[in-house]
Amino acid sequence: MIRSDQMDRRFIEEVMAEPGGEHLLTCWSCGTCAATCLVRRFNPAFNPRLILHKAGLGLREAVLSSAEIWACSACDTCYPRCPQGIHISQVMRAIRNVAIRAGYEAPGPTAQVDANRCSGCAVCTRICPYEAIERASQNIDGQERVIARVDRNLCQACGLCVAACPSGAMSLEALNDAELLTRMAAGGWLEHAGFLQGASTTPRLLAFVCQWSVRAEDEWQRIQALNDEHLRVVILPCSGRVEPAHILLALSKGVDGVLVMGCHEGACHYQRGTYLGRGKVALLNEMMAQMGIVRERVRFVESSALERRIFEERLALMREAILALRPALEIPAR
Amino acid sequence: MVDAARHPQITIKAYSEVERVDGYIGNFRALVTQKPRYVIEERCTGCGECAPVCPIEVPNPFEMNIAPRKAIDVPHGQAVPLIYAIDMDYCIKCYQCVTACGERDAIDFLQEPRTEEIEVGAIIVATGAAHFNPSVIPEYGYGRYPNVITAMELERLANSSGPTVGRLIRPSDGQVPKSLAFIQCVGSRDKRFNEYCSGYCCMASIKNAILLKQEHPEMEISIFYMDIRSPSKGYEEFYNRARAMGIRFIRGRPAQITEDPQTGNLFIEVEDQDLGQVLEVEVDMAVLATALIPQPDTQQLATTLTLARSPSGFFMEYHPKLRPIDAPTDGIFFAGTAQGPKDIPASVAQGSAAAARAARVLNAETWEIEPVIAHVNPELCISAQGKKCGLCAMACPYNAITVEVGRPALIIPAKCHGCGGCVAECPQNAITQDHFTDAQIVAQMREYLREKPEEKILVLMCHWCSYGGADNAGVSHFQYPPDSRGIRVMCSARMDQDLVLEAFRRGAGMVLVSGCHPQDCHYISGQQVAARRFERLFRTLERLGINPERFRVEWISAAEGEKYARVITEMSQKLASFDKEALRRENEAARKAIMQRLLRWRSLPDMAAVFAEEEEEKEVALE
Amino acid sequence: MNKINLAAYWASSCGGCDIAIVELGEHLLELAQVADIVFWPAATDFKYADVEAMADGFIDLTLFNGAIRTEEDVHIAHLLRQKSKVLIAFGSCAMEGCIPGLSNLVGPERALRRAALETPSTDNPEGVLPQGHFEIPEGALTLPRLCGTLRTLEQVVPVDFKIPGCPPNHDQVWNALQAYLAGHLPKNGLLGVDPRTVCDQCPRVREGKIRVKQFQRPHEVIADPERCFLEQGLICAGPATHAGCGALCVKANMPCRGCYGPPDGVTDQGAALLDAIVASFDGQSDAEVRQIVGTIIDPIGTFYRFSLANSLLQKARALASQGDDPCASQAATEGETL
Repeated sequence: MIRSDQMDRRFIEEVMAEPGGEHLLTCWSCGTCAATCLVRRFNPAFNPRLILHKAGLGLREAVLSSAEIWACSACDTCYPRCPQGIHISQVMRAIRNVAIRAGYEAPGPTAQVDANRCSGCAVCTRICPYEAIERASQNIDGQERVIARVDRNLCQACGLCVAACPSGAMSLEALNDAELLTRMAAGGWLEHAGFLQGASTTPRLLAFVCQWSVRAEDEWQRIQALNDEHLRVVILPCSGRVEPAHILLALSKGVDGVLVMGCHEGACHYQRGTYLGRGKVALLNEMMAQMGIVRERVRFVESSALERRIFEERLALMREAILALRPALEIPAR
Repeated sequence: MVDAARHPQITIKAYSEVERVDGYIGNFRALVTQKPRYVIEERCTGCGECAPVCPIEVPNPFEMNIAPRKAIDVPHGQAVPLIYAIDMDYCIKCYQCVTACGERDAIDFLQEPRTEEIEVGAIIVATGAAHFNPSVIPEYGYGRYPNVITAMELERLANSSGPTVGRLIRPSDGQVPKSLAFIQCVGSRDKRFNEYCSGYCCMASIKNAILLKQEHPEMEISIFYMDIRSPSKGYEEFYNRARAMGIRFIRGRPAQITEDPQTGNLFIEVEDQDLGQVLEVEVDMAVLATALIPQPDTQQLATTLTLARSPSGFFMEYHPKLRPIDAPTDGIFFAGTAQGPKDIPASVAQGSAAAARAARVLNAETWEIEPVIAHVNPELCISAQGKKCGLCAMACPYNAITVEVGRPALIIPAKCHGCGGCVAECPQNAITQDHFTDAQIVAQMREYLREKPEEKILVLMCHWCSYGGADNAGVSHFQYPPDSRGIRVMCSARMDQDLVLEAFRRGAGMVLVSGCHPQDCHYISGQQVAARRFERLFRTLERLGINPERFRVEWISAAEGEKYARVITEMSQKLASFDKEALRRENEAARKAIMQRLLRWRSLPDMAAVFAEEEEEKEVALE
Repeated sequence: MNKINLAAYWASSCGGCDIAIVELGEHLLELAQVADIVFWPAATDFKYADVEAMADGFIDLTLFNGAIRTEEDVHIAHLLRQKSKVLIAFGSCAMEGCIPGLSNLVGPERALRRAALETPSTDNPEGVLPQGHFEIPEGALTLPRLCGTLRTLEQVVPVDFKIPGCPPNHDQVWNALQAYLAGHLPKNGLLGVDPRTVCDQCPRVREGKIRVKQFQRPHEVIADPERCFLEQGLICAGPATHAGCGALCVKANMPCRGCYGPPDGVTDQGAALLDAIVASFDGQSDAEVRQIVGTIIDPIGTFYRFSLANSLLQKARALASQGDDPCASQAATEGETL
């Protein structure tokens, strides 16, 4: 039972005094944000409505000590739908600022910098949508060097920095390259040649699918069920996490095509990952064209949490496009 | 309606527009134009033989555009009068209808609009409301997913005189839905669109749910709501009945609706708050309970009838509690959703009330009007001298003043509500207000500022809000220093610049003018007139050498006693921070320039008596 | 103490790597104390026959520079492998294909036509092309044929160590030789390098968090010598390039080109650099992507300038078109680990 002496008016005032927290009390708990929230699908304990409601009651301890206040990735999908016009991610930020002052910190996971590998090249500082990384002088093995440092209170564990780091100095548990490779290659899937070598009648495709671009449970189940010898689906935390090296590896192993599915422009869960995913695929397409490899074999496609059956449509389109390459490449029929 | 049509003292002018309304309570003159039906009213029997042969189908707003009607048609089968009309935008003049009409010969393609002037004593505005279009909410999919419809569309689909003869089918495949969802508060209670609650949709959706459930007991019906508003007689009991019938109520506002393109089914994602979990509910059809919004031509009608609009856009009543049926313009009354969203019992009650209020007017020989009205002095009005002015008319919220070049401005006493805006705006000081003349106000000022004026704050406050606010401060025991002296006028619009300057001329330490908040002004737009005026006054004071910090403008409502006390306290502190000797010198230095400005005003006959007592020397040469 | 037998060879190369050895300068005198040069076509007159006559493993250390372009390169690579205890891929050509590797974009015929017929300075009105086999009264003249693909040394024979650079920095060459002589050989196969990437040795100021809306080429702008190139919209391969050269080019106000190869643990340098460059893109929309990508001229020449030959991109292409390659049978099977 929560008693009224746990309802601290000063906590409410403190949150409302923070920039972004002004509208805390106009929330009437309609639950639109809670039902919209994509984070919730992976983290059922996260409920923005509940956090705002608890904060509005002044339950200081319960709010500040919870792990959930760090889980909002500020994707702002809920904000345009809030009937009270509350910028919920800003309220979360206000609450976090109060928490940081009170000595709390984010529970993680947080991107980790390998100090021995990091050269302080600053690439990661540019890609982080949350500006959570800076270069800072640190003493490593008796030497003062300026290397990357991640602010764990801002890091949303999106993995974009892990992809961006050109020297492999950034890591994030469960999202490292080794893990992605394992998923790609499991069951020897990469060891078969494909349609373009005349070894298969159906094009073999690899699909990197952003976990936020498909929303409904039944959609995911349907997509997972499509995995077979001609299709391998690898889930990414963000389409911006896609590694061109992995795409090239797949192509070099005889995979006929690689589909990268991400969110619509401007709708990225981590604010700009989809833009970066597109950038990588676009640049890779340019290089493929220079090298004489057909561009249609690597494509970026969009989907959103509001759409269904997009994946199957795009897959079918890619298959058709590759099948149509047969005459041009003079592939012997089998 | 039929009774009304038959009543000997009621004339129904259907298919008509009110172009203009002149006059005042008890004596309105309305210019009404009847649009051409291209059907001769006296000859049309409403037999309906023309419509079936017409080859042109047009959108049918009565059927919510679900089904068409013909280019010659009636709005619906119970229309009063039951006279057909041709939509000339679509008619191709094939003459099929003429043939069908036969001997009745009721069709006349050459019919012209007819205008007539009607004299009426009272006007009731019952123009209704429109419906919010939910296609501006992309996450609900209206307009993209065929099986997402609005509540009004459902009304037509479930109605036995509707396009599907009462069989509820879903648009995508014509099947009877096995499951249905109602989504409440679509466009209502939403800061992005309309902040108000539309008031009728909870009950309407429950009603529809019960009707459908009775007809299709196995249909799964869910209602997604934030609150169920069932305040009136029998409403809560009705709601409980719906629950008992097995209609599912889920408290949660749906975040989005997605569609499975292969089945046409809809998936509603919502947090069930009582459960604390997100549900994904698959339904065959979704019904959006959309908001009531003002009619698109509300502004046009407001201009024609001199009506004001509330912030929500509906017509504004004289007072929301004490006179909810009356418009601020005397003799005009409201009934129904034109004045604000409400349900049928409330609309009917308002209709009776409006009739009663109008009857008072019609049965009266004479009508009592405001005593504090304004008068134009024809000798001073420059319009009478052939010059173009009209500032008074522009300031009047009630269109009570007519100005013609060559004649003095004419104030219609029955329309004047006594805000005093015209009095203050007139640059010739040609207008006076009964019981609130400049002389009377200056006389009060003279007494207040007789001794040690530089230690005093002179306050000009409007009667309805700020005076009430000051009173509220007193009654509520909000403490404030005793430096202020208040003069009451009816409206901040009355507060002439000259009065403020006069106060400074008399040596006042500080001056506060205070009125209503913009949306609260008793005289609709008086406060706005005042606000513009006082913005200019700051610059004037600077040029005169008066520190603009000595002048303050505040909008304080009758409930804001605390604010009044706070403002006076702040001003008092500020006043205390000024060196009094410096203030006196500042006033002295500005006096000559102020005198120059006030010269004409001071020379008015009414003002002479006030200034007679003073020993002002003739420092300024008269022109 | 016995002197070691030292060999150096140039396959398809520009000669810069041999000059890098000469640039050891006075260290050559020290080298002469501990090593005998038994084969070095650039500087000495030993013949192939001399090598063929050696016993297997006779050569202690071979510094093999240049890419494998012709049948002759393949043959000698195998020969030197056989005769050497330790074979080092010396310089970028041998290690990763370097500039000659870019000919894989067009293939040997096209490259040959360009060189022999089409360049503006070529005066070849009869369109004479080199022949693999030509009969003259005295007998047959042969020229080694071009391989269908340009390969790295490791793509034809096993390699013990690599020394990166185009050319390797002479200080680093001396460090590498000293390491070899002292027996301090690293686990990861690279000699003469410093840890991490060029950015570690770069003196420029990096503010971080700066994104750009377009990239420019070095000749289009005079770069600020104090600031990071990437933060000025110039593509610098520094973040994806192994340290060791001391950031020489950067200090001369030219962006790094990547000649020292990928950082430790990274197989495909171009992909790693692509990741780093995309991180600098500013914008949110498809149109902005196209616009920025449009300012990156010659992506392969920028990202894979030195490393195309043994990159994943190359391998992807190899599968797509299987041309006629006279060297194919002699190529080693490649391990595709990342």
